[in-house]
Amino acid sequence: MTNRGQIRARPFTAGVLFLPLLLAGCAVIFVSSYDEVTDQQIQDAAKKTEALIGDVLVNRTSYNQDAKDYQEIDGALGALEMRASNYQKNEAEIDLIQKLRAAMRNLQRIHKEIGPFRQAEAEGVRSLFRSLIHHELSKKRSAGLGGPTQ
Amino acid sequence: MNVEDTLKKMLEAAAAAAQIHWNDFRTFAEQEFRNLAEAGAQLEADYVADVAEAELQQDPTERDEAKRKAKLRADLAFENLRLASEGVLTATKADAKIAAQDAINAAIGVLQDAINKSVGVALL
Repeated sequence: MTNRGQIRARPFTAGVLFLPLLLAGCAVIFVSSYDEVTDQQIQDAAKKTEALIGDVLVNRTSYNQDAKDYQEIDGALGALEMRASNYQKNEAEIDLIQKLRAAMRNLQRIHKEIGPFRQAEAEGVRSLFRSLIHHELSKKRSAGLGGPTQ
Repeated sequence: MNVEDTLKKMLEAAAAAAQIHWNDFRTFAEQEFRNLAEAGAQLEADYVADVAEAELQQDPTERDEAKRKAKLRADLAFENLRLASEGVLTATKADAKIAAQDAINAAIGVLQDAINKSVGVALL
């Protein structure tokens, strides 16, 4: 094929690649779409967890004083995991929630078996919440760019 | 429809969509890894201090128990930092997928507009 032929072939190839997507009339989806309810529930769980961490760090509260909060946070995260698993291509969100639940259980164990946890010991849980919130914001931004929405 | 012009616009739209995610991804990953590294250093310092304090115990049983607790809290906290590091990786991998998704969809959008404009009706 000549150089001119190659130059003509390139846009043609691009057109052929995109044509099935155009004819299908739908957007490409690699990651499940933004869900406002999930986002709000994550914010609520983060708020409750931050209140618990703050209380333990500042007031050095006993495990018995906070046992109910741990239970409620795990319940909220369990419900989130259940909701997240209903969407296809949502592996990242599910993985982050599962890691967060595991990290919360470790934090709870420190509090229960040893005593009030320290700031650096709470960092894993805080970071996982930030990763989860970041993921939701990326999805939200994608929806704003014309990506899929619920 | 001008194919070259459309192709150029498709590439520009794709690059712009991906760039927005890339900037955000980089800031997030840098900050998170910094936080985790600082927390790791603090955990190490806490563990050394806890073991030194345990050594001061006169009673061997209490000393061993204090050491066991120091190790347990360090193990659990480091496990959480490992989970958090993997979490940053999970979030950033998803960012890359979202960026690719938006780049492709932006390019398709441009192509759809160009075809519709060319045929004079909203065909696609």
